[in-house]
Amino acid sequence: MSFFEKNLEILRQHNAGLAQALLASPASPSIQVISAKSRDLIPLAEGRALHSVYNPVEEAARFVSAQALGEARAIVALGFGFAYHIEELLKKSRAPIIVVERRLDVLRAAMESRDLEQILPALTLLHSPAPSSIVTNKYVADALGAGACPIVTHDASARLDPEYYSAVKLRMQRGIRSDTAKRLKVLVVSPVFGGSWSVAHYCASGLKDVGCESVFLDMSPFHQALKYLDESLKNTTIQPRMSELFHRLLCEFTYWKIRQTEPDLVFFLAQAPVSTELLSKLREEKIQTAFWFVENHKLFPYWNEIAPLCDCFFTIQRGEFFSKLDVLNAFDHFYLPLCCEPSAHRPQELDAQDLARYGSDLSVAGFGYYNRLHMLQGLTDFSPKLWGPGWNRSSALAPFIQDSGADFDVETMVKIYNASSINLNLHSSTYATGVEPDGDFVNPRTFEIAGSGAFQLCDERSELGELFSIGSEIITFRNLQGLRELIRHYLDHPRERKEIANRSRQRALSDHTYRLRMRQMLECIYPADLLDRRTVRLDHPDQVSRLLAEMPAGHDLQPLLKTYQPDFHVTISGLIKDLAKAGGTPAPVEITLRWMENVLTQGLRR
Amino acid sequence: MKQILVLQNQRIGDTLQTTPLLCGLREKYDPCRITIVTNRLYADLNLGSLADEIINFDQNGLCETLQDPNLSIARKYDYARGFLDPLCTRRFDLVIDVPADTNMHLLASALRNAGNVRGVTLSPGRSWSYSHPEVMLLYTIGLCREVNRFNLVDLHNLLAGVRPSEQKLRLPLDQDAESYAAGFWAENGIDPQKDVVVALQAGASEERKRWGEVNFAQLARMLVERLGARALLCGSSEEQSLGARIAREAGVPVVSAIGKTGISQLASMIRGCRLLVTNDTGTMHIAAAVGTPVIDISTGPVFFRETGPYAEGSIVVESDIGCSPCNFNAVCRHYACRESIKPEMLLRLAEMLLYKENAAFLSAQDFQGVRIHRATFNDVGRLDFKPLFRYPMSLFQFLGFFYAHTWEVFYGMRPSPKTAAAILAEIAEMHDIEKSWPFIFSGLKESAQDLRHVEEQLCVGEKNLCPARASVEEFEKIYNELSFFGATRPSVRHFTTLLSLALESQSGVDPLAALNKIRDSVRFLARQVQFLRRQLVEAAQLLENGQKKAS
Repeated sequence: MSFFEKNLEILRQHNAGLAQALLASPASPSIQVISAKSRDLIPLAEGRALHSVYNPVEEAARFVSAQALGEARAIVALGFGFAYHIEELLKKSRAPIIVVERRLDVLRAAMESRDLEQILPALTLLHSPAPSSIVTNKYVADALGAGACPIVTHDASARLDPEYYSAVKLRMQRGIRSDTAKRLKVLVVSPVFGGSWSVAHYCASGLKDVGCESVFLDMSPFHQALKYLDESLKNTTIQPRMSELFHRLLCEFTYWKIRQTEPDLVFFLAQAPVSTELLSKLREEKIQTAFWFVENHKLFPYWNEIAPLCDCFFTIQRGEFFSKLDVLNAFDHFYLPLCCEPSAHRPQELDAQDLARYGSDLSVAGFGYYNRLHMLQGLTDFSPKLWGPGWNRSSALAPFIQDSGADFDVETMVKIYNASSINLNLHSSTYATGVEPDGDFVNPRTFEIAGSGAFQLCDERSELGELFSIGSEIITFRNLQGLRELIRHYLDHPRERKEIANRSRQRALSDHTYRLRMRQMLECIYPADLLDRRTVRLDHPDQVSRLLAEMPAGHDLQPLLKTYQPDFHVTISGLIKDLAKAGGTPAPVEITLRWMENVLTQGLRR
Repeated sequence: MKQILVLQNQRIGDTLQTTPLLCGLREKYDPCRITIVTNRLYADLNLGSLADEIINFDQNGLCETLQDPNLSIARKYDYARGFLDPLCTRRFDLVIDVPADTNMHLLASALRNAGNVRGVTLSPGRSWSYSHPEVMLLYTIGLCREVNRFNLVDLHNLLAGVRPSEQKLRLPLDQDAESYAAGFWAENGIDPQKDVVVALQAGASEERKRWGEVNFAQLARMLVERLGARALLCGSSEEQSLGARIAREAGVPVVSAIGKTGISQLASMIRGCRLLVTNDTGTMHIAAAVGTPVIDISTGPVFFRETGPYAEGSIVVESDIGCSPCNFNAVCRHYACRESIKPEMLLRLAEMLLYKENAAFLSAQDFQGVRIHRATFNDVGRLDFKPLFRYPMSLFQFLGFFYAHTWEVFYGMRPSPKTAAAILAEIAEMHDIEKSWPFIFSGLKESAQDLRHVEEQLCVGEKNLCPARASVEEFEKIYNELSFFGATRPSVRHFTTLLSLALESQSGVDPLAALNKIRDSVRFLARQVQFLRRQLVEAAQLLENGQKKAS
């Protein structure tokens, strides 16, 4: 049995994935194995020796004795090389050792050239992990918590990819820094306008729900100014310059807000005002950043500039996009699909007036994108209601456009979903005339319709099957003909529609809420125990079911609380908002809540 | 017996500025029972003899409870109701919501058995509703400071609809506090009857309001060395290190009472002093209340006409740089106003107040870069600050005299109006109109034109306001235009702001139901604008004729 086979066999017991990857990887011509003067084998990577060409064992002993290991509870070694230094570490310390190696070809060469039987079972070997996942490793997280996790950098290995290794080191140092007793403070930066504004808003509330101190930096007040600027300078030569200046102003404003808020994490949403200068400045000041790119990377290429400067980059696409991010050295990228907000996207009982206004057999709520304009031309016999801007008023669709193509708010949107027998959810495309052939990510509407307990027909997307069970929780179509058949079928079978919509909602509530997403997002960045320490518990005292259970009959808040879902977390401002919807003279309950909110806003007085 | 509730949750100074109002209420409605809600932090402020019942609002306690992550909203709600319920179910014939605290506005809104509320409450449209024209006047002042000459105390009285017979702040002193002060003097070898004790209050609620510790230290040294005075440092326990630095920098013996006194004890000690030199602080109002002469150093965003000491003869020093007083939200990087006020100047003023009968021995040359004002009550009993020397004036200062006169007439302080000539004569007594002429003339004509535009629009609006929804909507167009107009013209901003408050007060109310109130407000405003414009036109004419004659 060769060394490679033997080592791989041992590795398979601990890390089958890595063993498989090594088996599948070809031997690389860029790694050359030579014999040191001591006759130990060492690798040359791109012509550079990764260990001493005289005596790698002695060199490793010197190297390890120079490290300050102290009472380490875990050791993170950056660089595997041919593991001479790892052997020395194992001799010196009993702490668990986690080894990070960026290059698969180096690992393969080591497995082929040395007998690692003694050391492989004693360590956790990770190939090119996302830097943040080191911090979330159980042993590392424990050790970071105790402040006893030395980082041992094998310089020769680190020189092969310095950006990557320094990113790992930086994340670990931050892991140590952020381990305080304070509540985790996250600043969510919204865009000035557009669909991701509401996503930002929901994220802020989701973060609050998971127990963070969430601060929402609402940039929408700048929208009017931006519109004015664009309209008044339309088609002038100064417009690009002014737009750039305005963007810089927004970035500077964001920077100062961040300084003022002093968050642990700044969470940017797509189209939020960021620049390379801003992100570099934040990086210099060791302020942790994350970005949720909730759009199609093929249509909006600005991620090229910002992703490498963000500590964590979250996307709704993976595959090809991840490879592109790797090339940019944006190591910490994670797939984070969109979701729904149960307090906003919920079933509604509509009165006759709303049903008449928003109801239809078939509706589309959204912008009239190129493919939608085409596809809907083939559905006019169903008299669809088309809501939102961008629908071509001089086409055959004109009679079906609602409210003259005006935009609508979330509340109206949810009414449309609830009032429509079938909600058509066709993901936008700027080139296809129907369903995008290689469509991957899932749009927010999918989750929002599901959360609203409404029925939808959705075009096929490669990521959809992982999020909803196709055929049971969601029904998909591939082309116009198939869609027409489905529409006819489901219009005739309201009960089926109802059952699918119910299952879809259950799935959305259990797996796809902002609260869950935000927890998932934070888990990518922080170790679980640190998160638990720095967030309040999830069984929140303001969960509706708990509140109703603990309050006496006839309590002022009872009638209002009964209008919410039992698992919903109420907030003072949310209650006020819902009470104010009734209009008329404010009731004592509302005044009291406003008073409480106001006292909280004013804070302690001296 | 009339049940009266007064809501006041602001700081010490603001609470003291409410005391004349309490006396005015007693005089007007006697026999009556007055209940006052104040912040628990100032429970030490002895208002017992001015009100029949004092309810201390423990805002910090409530805030801490609301911040507790382990308590549910329901529990927090119950805690809040625990304070509100006993108050909200009581009957009050009159409620005075003294500005400007949203907690108190909401409390006023929560009262179920309140008769007449004079103040601000939550409207059906969830904005604020201002109950009376006097309330609106008060709330426009902060937005239109350029033209204001009214002190907050007088505005409070207007808000409450009272005219106290005596124009003074009240702070009853108790025996314990007096004994404490006596002990303090004895302990520090001071005999307030013989020694000239000058109190210095160097702290303030924010940095921009502070004259600076080095300046105070120099002043303390000069007071001791040149005037033979004893310097006493006052302040809260948080200002102890500031006091220590001043004492060290002064290099002469100073006595520090910083952090050693409660409010009553401080008041007793201030009463034993011959003078207080202070930033705009609660201590300043305490001195005004106990009758100790005050020199108020007005820096940063402090607008002394609004918040200055309410006591005849008090002196205010302000810098005459263009940015003073600065905007509430301005971030200052130079503190130039602080630099232009020199300790030597304060020493001269202290000398005048301590040893001289009047200001005749002072020379304007000694006060370059600053302006000095002395508090005095005018013929209708309103506090005004008159300059010590005849300074030139800006357009807005000039307009301020006419605005003040308009308000006096329209808000019931002055039974019969003065002529423009009389106002000009009054101005000429205080200011050098000759030197001011270039600054005033063109602006004055423009202001009159702007007022004419506002007046015309209001008249059109008022005439067309009829019981039809369309007419109210039409009026809103006029309002939008006027609102923009006012935003760009400070000389008329007061009126457009008043109009916006009048409309905001009706938000959420059916426009037709609110029609009469809106029309009354518009009519009232239009009359004021017309009155002011005519006086300004007349004044411009008189000034122009005077100029022609002179040339």
